[in-house]
Formats: sequence, C-alpha cells, structure tokens
Amino acid sequence: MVKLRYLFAMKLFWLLVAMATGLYAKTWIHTPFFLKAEDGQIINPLTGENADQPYSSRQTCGACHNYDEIVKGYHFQQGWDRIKDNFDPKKPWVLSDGMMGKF
Amino acid sequence: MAKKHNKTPDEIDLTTFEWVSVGPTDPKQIGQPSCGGCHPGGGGLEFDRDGKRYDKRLKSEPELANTLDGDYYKSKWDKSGVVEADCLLCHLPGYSFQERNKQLKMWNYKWASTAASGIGQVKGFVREGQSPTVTYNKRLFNEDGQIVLSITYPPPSENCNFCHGISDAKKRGFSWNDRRNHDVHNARGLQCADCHPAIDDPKKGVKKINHQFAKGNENVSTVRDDLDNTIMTCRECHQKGYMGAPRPLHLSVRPNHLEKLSCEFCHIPVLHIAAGEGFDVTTGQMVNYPKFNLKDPANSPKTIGEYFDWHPRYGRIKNGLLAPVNPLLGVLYTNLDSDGIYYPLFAREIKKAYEKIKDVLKPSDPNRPELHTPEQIKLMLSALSETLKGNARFHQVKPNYHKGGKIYYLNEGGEVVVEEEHTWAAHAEGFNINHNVAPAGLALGAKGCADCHSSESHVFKGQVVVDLFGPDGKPVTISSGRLIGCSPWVFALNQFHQLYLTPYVSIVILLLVFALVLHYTGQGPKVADFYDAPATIEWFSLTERWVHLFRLISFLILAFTGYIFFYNNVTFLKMSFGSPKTAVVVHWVAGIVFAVASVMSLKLWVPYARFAPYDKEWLAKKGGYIGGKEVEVPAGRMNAGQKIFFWFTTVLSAIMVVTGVPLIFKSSLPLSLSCLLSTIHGFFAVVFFASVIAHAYLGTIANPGTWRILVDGKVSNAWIKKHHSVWYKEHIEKDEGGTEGKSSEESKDNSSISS
Repeated sequence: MVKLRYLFAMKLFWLLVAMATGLYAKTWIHTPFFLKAEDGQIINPLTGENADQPYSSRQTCGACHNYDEIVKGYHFQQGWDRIKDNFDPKKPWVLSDGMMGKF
Repeated sequence: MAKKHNKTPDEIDLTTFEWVSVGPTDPKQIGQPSCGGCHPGGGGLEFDRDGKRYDKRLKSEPELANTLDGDYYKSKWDKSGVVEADCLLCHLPGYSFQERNKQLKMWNYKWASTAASGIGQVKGFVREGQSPTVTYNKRLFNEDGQIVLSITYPPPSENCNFCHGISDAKKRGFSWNDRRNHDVHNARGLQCADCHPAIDDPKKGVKKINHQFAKGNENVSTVRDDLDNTIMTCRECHQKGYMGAPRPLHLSVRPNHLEKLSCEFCHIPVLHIAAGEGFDVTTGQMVNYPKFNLKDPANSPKTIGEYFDWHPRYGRIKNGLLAPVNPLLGVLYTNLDSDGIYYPLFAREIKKAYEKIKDVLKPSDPNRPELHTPEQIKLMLSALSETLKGNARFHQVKPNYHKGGKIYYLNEGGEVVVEEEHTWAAHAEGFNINHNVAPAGLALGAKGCADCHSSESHVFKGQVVVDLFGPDGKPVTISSGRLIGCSPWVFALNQFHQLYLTPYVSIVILLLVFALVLHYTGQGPKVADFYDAPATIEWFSLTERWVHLFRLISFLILAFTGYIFFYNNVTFLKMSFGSPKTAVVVHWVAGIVFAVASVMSLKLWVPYARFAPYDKEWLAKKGGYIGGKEVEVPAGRMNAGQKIFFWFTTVLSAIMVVTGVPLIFKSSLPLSLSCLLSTIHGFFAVVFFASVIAHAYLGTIANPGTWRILVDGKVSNAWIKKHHSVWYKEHIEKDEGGTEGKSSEESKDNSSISS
C-alpha cells in the first residue's frame, strides 16, 4: 500500500515537473532515422558515407511518410496543380488561383 | 509567373526558376523571403508543368534553358537542384527561416533545408558559380549514424509565422505571440493548428495526410476556394464550447446587429501593429506604405509591423456581413491592349520608364516618387508610351496609371485624362481582418452603444484612406460611415438620437410628472366627487372598453420593450424576456395589436371627435383645468381636449405604424433608411408616452370617477352633466327631464356611444 502511494506520488511529481518544464508540449524526439541523399543512399556523417550530399526530404521523410500524398496540400502546390496558360481568358496573366501563377 | 509557352522574351516576367529566388541579395535583405521562401517545396518547386523533375530534365535536355519555356528559360536547375517539400520548415522548432531564404536566393535550392534546419553547414553558392559543400553537425547523430531530432506535431505557431507573420502583417496587421498586438485566443494558449487543423473530409476527397488545412473565406485572394469555410466559425466554437470557449449571451446587442455584423466587427476594434496602407510600383519596385497616422502624420509608422494603433475599415465580405477589412490600396500601371484588356505592366517595364524621367521629376525621395499632379503623371505615362514601343507582348501601347479609385491615361493630344476606375485594378473589398481578437471587455459595445454611435467612435466618423496621395500630395480620406452606406445627414440624425434624445428623455418625462403633481396639488381635481354617485349610464360599450383595453395593454408592452431598446437595459431584458430576440418579437406583436386596436378606435370614436363650435369655449376656458377655480365648460361626448388628444394620438399611431412596420424588416433596409426610421420612431415614441401619461392623469385622479368607464363602462348622470354638458342636454335632459335615477338598462338607448 505504501509502495503504491509512493509510486503515485512519484508519478504525480514527474507529471508536474514535465508540465512545468514544457515537456508536456507536443514536441517529442522523433525516432532516430537515417538521412538519405537524392539517390536514396544513406548519409552517415560519422562514417563519411555520402556526407558531402544534402539530405533529400523525399527520400528521408518519404521512407516512412507518404510524401506524394502530403505534397497534394495547397501549401505545397499553391496553384501548381491547376496551372495552365489559358486559366483565365479575361486576365491572361493569371495562370492559376494560387500563389504560383496568380500574378 | 511566366506562361509555359511564350512567343517572345518580352512575355516572360518570372520563370519558375526565378520565382524561387527573386529578391534582393544584399546582406541586409538576403534573409527576407523570395516567392520560393514561403513555398515549402514540392509541387512547382520540384516538378515542371509537364510533371517532370526540373534538375533531371534540364540535365538530359540542356537546350531547354535556351528556349522560351517558362519553366526553363535561362534557368540553372541542373546546378541548383530542386526544392523538395521541406518538412522541417514547419515541424522543426528552431528552424532558421532566414538561412533558408539566403540559400534559395543564392540558388542553393537542394541545400536549403539542410542548412536552415541546422543539420549541417553549407558553404558555397551556385549563384556565384560554386559547388556547395555540406558539413553535418555530428552531435545530432547516434553512433549508428541515425539522426535524432525534436519534431513538433502539429507545427508550432512560430513556424507558421515565418510566412504568415510577414504577408498577413502587411495585409491585415496580423501578428501572433505578440503581447502588444494581442489575441485573446493566443492568450489562452491556442496554437495555429488548433483552429486550422488538417482536413479529413472524404466528401471533399481530402485525407488528413494531404495537409490541407481548415480555412475561412478570404475576401480578396483566391486560395483553394473549394476548401472555404472548412474552419470552425467563431459561432460554432463558442456555441459548442470548443476547447472551453465561453458561450456569449450578447444580451446588450441588438439582434439585427448580430445578423448584420460579423463577430470580428466588434471583437477586433483596433490593431496594434501597422499593416500596409498601400503600395506603389512606380519605381519598378514594390514600395510599401505602412498605415498613415492621419492625426499626426509626422509620427506615422516607418515600416509595416511597427507598433501602431489603427482602426480597421469596414466592408461587406463574401457572406454579406460587415467585417473589418484592410484594402491595401495599390498604385499600379497597365497597358490597354487591342483586345480591350488592361494588362499589368512588369516591374522591369515600369522601371525602364521611371529611370528615364527620374532626373526630370526630381522627387524628394527617389524611392517614393508619389506621382499625383497632372504634370508628373503625364511625364510618367509619356515615358511609358515611349519605352513600351516595340514591346512584342502588346499590339498597341496605351499605358494607364491606377491610383485612388481613378484611372489616368493620355488622350490623342497627349494630355492626361482622368476617369473613375472601372478595371480589375479597382478592387476595394479589402483583406479580411480576423485575428488579433480583443477580449470581450474591449469589444465594441462593451461600454454601450456609444462605442460605435458617437462622434468619437471610429465606426462612423473615423477617417479611412482612399487615395495614398491626392491632388495635393496628401492622403485622401473619407469617413468610415460613408463607406458602409451611412450618409452624413443620417449620422447627424443618429447623433441627435444618441446625444440628446436618449440622455434627456428621462428628465423630460420626470419634469412632466412633476408638472402634473404641481397641477394636482395646485389646481386640484375637478371638485365634484362622483365616487359615491350611482353609475347608471353605460358611457362606454363593451366594444369600446375592449378596444381601449387592448390599446392600453399593447401600449404598455410597447413602452416597456421600447424602454429596454432605448436604453439597452439588460437587467430588465433578462428579467422579463430572457433574450433580445424575444423582446423584439414581443414588441412586434404588441405593435400589431396596437395598430389594429387603433384602427378600431378610429371607427368607434371618429363620429364624436369632430370639432363643434362650443369647443372654442372649452379651449378658451382651458377646459377648466387651469386657473385655480371651478368653471363650467361645454362638451359633447368628447370634450375639445379629448378630441385633440384623439387626433393627436391617431397621428402618432400612424407615425409609429408607418415607421415601425418597415423596421420589422430592418435587416433588408438600407442603412440610411433604417437609421431614419429608427430615429423618427424613437422620437415620437417619447412624445406618445408623455401624452399618454397626461391622458392617464386626466382620466383618473384629475377627474374622479372617470376610471369607472374602463371597468364597467358606467358613469353617473352627475358625472355626465359635469364633464359633457352639451351631450347631457341633447341626450338626457330632453328625454323626460333627464335620466337621473334610471337603470342602466333604461339608459342604454340614450347612450349615443353604443347606439
């Protein structure tokens, strides 16, 4: 019984500490992962493997997350998925309704 | 943005490659975003309009850089690489937006995320002909070579603000996590993603992973309008209590205000950082003008985002409500081509003309020429006419200058012609202002109607800029009220209501009551006491009593509800009706009953309300009410005073009905008409109420025994003889020498009221 109370008190204590220090915010340490270059090769700065290459989010993030689905979002397309030379005959300089092509 | 297919280099403004990196590269400004800075990558920064990756395609088809292809013309994609979707731009706390902008402007497209995230250092710039190198920060890596990063989901507001903090500060004075330009939701700990979560709506074909974020409905811009209104509205959150949102009662707010005004109208009364007042492209650069300090021009803010208090302009937004907006006035140049279309001129085309006349113009600030005189405008338009000659993208050269709702152009004789703006450049809707919401206690109306309806309030009398530099070079302004359809005379009328009618009505009524008390104690009631006299004659028929009763009760209800509206008395409102809407409906219903009863009263009493010769004597003797002594006054069934009151209240009733019925449909009326009707309705309501108080006094304690008419309709012979002597002589005295002592049944036939 005493042990249970002790455990509860400890849990409460650490919960309060976490809340007070902001650890209860939504930031967390992402599971460790390999950076990958454009060609899909692993970048390992510790061994020097492809360490002169910039990382590629398509290869790195896309290894686990559906990159092609994500970039369908407006923030990534900004009208590019609708762009065409004759988008608006009344305003021929307008090529899409997004930031890419609107002006 | 250049078209994909172009016939001449003149047609090409920004290629896709330039779009990513356009902007000044001097050390001071290199950290500011290019167009590509606020594009997180992927989409048009990764694939061309044929769906092919830029870098790979240009490597395999290097000749594309020499064609007029809007994606490749003079591009270096093969060296810069592409900008893939930068997940860390949004999800990594501490991401360096400035570093990203620097890398993009220096054409290090594929290195931008590596450098800006701090994962590695990048040296060398493609723009300077170098091959960038990377040095990774090994402390971020585990022994096995895997990286360890603190990722945030959903993205922190700070990262959203990289872009929105810049563009929306200019458009609408927006800032976040800013104690001075505060937002009540921000103060409660809400983050951007709390209100703008990823949409998961199969009906729209959008899955959460698609990263489509809930949005409202931007007034000016077109931004995935098919996703408009996917965000929870203020009303939805505050009615459902979403995330603990308090449920407002708005008891002190008129229902029609809630129907016509957006929530933001009252809850964003002031912004605290300078938005853009407008911009001028005369120099070939976009020169932004922060909000003007109209009261103290010398202390106008110097830059957008500087702390400065300003009130928004009001305009009608897409849903038809009035809302705070910021129009961002543009000073623009177009060319009217042979197809009748006004084409905006490219920055380089304007710059070429300006450079030509800069030395002739000699503006005090070469970066802000502020063309406003006919001579200056003529000079610029003439320069454009010259420099545009031979421009292969036009079939004819007819340059136009757009400023302050006017369009300026040169006629055949080379003189400046001015017309009202009629082109697409006229946009006056204004960007919605929907953040930086004030706490309820600071909202318009929290301190009463005068928050808006007074000459001190900005809502009607505040000045808003409609031309950055008018004929005298100074900003041209107009009152805010005029912009929302309130003409000056209507405002003056409204001021009469607010400044004189409302504050002094109580005093006038109290003075009237005091005068009646003085009359009662000085003059006293008519001396004959009829309380004990037998009431034998039915003076008011049942119909008359009911009509009077309905008129009386409905009038009391109208007066009570009207009083609540007049003074916005929330205590009485809560106590009696619970909600403003209920009080309004009760007022309407009582008004209809009153109108019907008034029409019936006309039918019943008009025959007795015609003036007769003996009324002159009644009036000459002031009805026997003034003078301190009892005098005999002649009167028919109605005395002259009653006749006057009858016709007076008939006219008042007509005024109340004529002005009141349209007000039931207030939300459909023009603002001016609605204001006019409200003021007339309110003014005559006060007059009516005062008249009825006097009428009640005369019908009760000033004339003892009279009140019985309202109960059983019966009065005594003595009462009739006293108050309606002519009628008494004509109808009672001539019949068998009077009706005294007759029963009520017997007297019925003699009563001309009911017969």
